Amino acid sequence: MKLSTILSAGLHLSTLILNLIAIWLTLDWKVRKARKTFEKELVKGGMPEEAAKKLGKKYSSVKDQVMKQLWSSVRRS
Amino acid sequence: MSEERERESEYKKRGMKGLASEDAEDVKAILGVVSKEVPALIKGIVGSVFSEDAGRDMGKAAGAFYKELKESGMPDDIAVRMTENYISVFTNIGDIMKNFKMGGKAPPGLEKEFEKRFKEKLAEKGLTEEEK
Repeated sequence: MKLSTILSAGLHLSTLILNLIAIWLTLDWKVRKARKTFEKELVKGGMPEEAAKKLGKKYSSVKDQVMKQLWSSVRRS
Repeated sequence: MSEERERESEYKKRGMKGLASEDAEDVKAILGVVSKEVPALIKGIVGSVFSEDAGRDMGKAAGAFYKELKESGMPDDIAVRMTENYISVFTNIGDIMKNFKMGGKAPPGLEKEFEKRFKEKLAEKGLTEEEK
């Protein structure tokens, strides 16, 4: 087995892990931004701000749901 | 000589060392593709739900729904509750994922039903097993 093959495979693996970490780290920021835009559009539609915030919370809870499901499926396997 | 035999004789010539290096090359190639494709796929999925555009579109849809309800004379609290239910159609991914069991067995009877329908389709097209 060539050393260059191992090094290159290791490089690919570390790239994959780093990319996944980057996605995970930026997810919160993306969710926050999407939530803000979502709430803004609701208020534009005439919804009271409090109700819009409540719905925005529900929208951003999708992330928690997905992460919870992912972790539980990882733990099960 | 078939391709398989050719490969076998090559393996014999090169021994286990050759086999191992070929496997390592395969793993390297697979990792190369996976390291590019998997993050792109996840980014796409995340972006389709959590991006400024996705939030704007969903908000516009929900806002228009609420507006219509209000214009038709619906009380405020009921309109909000109905909009909440409307949004939950998009946000119930968790429930969908709960029902999506990876590697689970098919419901009982489903395989037989599938086989029966498959045979019916084959018969319809005149491709029954006897004819093969």
